[in-house]
Amino acid sequence: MNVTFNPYRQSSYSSPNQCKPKPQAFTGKEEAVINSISGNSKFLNSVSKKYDDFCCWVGKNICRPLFDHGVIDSFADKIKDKDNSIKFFLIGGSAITSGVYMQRTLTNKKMDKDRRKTLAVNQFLTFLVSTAGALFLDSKLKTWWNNKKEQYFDLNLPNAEDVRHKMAEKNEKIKIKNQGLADMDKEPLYKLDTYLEKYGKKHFLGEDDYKRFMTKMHGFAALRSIIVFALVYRFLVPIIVTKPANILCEKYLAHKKNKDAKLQPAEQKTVEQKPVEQNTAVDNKAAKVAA
Amino acid sequence: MNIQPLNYNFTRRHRYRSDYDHTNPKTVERSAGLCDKKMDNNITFSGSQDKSVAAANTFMGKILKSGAFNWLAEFSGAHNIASSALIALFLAGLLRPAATVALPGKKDKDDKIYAAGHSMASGIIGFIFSTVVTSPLDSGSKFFIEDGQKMSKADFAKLSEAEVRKILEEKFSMTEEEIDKCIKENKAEGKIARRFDKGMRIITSKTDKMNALKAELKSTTDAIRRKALGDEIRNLQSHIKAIDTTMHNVVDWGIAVPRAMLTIALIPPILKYVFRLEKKKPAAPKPDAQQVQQAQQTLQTQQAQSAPAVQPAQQVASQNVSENGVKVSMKDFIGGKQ
Repeated sequence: MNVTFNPYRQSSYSSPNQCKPKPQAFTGKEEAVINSISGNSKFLNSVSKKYDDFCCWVGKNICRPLFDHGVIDSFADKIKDKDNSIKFFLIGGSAITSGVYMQRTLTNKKMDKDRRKTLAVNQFLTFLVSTAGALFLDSKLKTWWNNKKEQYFDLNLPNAEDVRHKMAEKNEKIKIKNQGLADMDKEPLYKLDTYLEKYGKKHFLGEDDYKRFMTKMHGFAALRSIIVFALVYRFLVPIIVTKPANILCEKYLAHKKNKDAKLQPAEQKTVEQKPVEQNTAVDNKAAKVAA
Repeated sequence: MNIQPLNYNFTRRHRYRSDYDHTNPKTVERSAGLCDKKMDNNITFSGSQDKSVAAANTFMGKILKSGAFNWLAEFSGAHNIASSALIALFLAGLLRPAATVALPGKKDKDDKIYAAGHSMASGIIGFIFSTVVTSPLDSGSKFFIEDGQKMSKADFAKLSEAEVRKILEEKFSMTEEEIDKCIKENKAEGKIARRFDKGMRIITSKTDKMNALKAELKSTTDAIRRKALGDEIRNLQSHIKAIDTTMHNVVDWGIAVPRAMLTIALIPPILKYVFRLEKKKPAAPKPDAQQVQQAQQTLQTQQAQSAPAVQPAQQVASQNVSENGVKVSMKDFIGGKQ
């Protein structure tokens, strides 16, 4: 992104003839502006270097032994062809969090046993409903979001037209090559993502620009699932589902209590009858002895 | 029918002239042509070079082009978990409390305020914990993943100086002077080759395999073999990408348990000391007048039968009603069913 500072101020009421273009004071990349402000600061540089060293240490001593594992490899192999694989991690994270809450509910001694169980089941069902809802919404938004991604690309890359033109040229060549070949042997046509990954670098000024733009494109794709899952887990479900779920839970508990209350008098009657019979037996014995 | 391109001119000059001076013949050549009288046969065409301008003027276009959205997209691409926590902070810390308080129902107003505070606290704790814990892990794993995808030191040793120059020019877009300086100071290896040859073993081995396949692809002319090699390279690329995603996001699973425990433990003190909210205990319900009357009657009848036994029962019953707020029938105490 180019940043322009123009210190000349023009009056909005001036006549058109007086609005001659003024020379710009500075035009350059935003990194240049940031570097000019922070680049000379010894304190910021030393802090940044220390943080980088710390991150490198974390990577070497924690990330490498922890993640450089066959399990990660096999898991990655399973999700590599899936659309927006980040949703699996969001579901996994939510499942673990819900599991912790359920475990805490089940071991909470302040609540009675029935309430504990009902609340845990309630939490589990809420997790299932929200996951299903989030997956449904995510799949429904896929096409619309992909269109917006194309629009995002067009709006934020100054030479987007040029990239599209080059991509179309490549695709034309592939189509000619593919003529007469069986479907299995046909080379796949380039999409925006695949083209940018293979030939994108030459359309940018440098490696950093290219990497930054590609990070934005990946981030845009990931944002769909991030927004949808956060919206469902953290907003829609707590607002819409929790209240009816609590009402159902209360109704179920009240129903169970009534059922228990009906059973209790019957049990009490049987308990009360026994001492009476014993008493009469004792009385009979005493009467016989007296006789 | 005339088809004219819509010439956008965003300078002040055009705006002022079209606003105040469009009748001036001098301005006709600079205007967009929208103010002409003969518009019947004219179609204003905004495609081709001006397509992006038209798209940018829509509401969605303005959002997509905005600096804030660009920052969010870049942040999401670099830090998936932290961006997820940021969006959760916005939703749970701002929207949900607002919606909870705005929902109808005056009876449980205190509960609603408590729920809103709870939601805000959980959003804030989740964001801080996720960002603080995952950011160094994210950057650390990113460093090693990037290092693993570089060339091995052994492969770098095989390169000629011309090849090294070519890589520095193409990959790092360095100028001639910079390349000379880099080679003189022996910094080229640090830029092109891996810093840690025993870095992320999975990625390192896959990258080496991919480099070997690429070298084979260059020397092969057989179309079928080239297709097979291309497929294998694409497969390896997507696998490396998936490992990258997994390593960045699996951290979230690791911190999910302590984060949930911390959230549960920290919410009450945060609500108390930051939001000045405390869950009120339910007020003790006053005993019904009818119930009290009934109890008094039974007490009187019991007093007549056995005077000393009634005194302690009455005390216990009155304590239970007032302190615990539990509706306990006097009959039960008197009958000895406690």
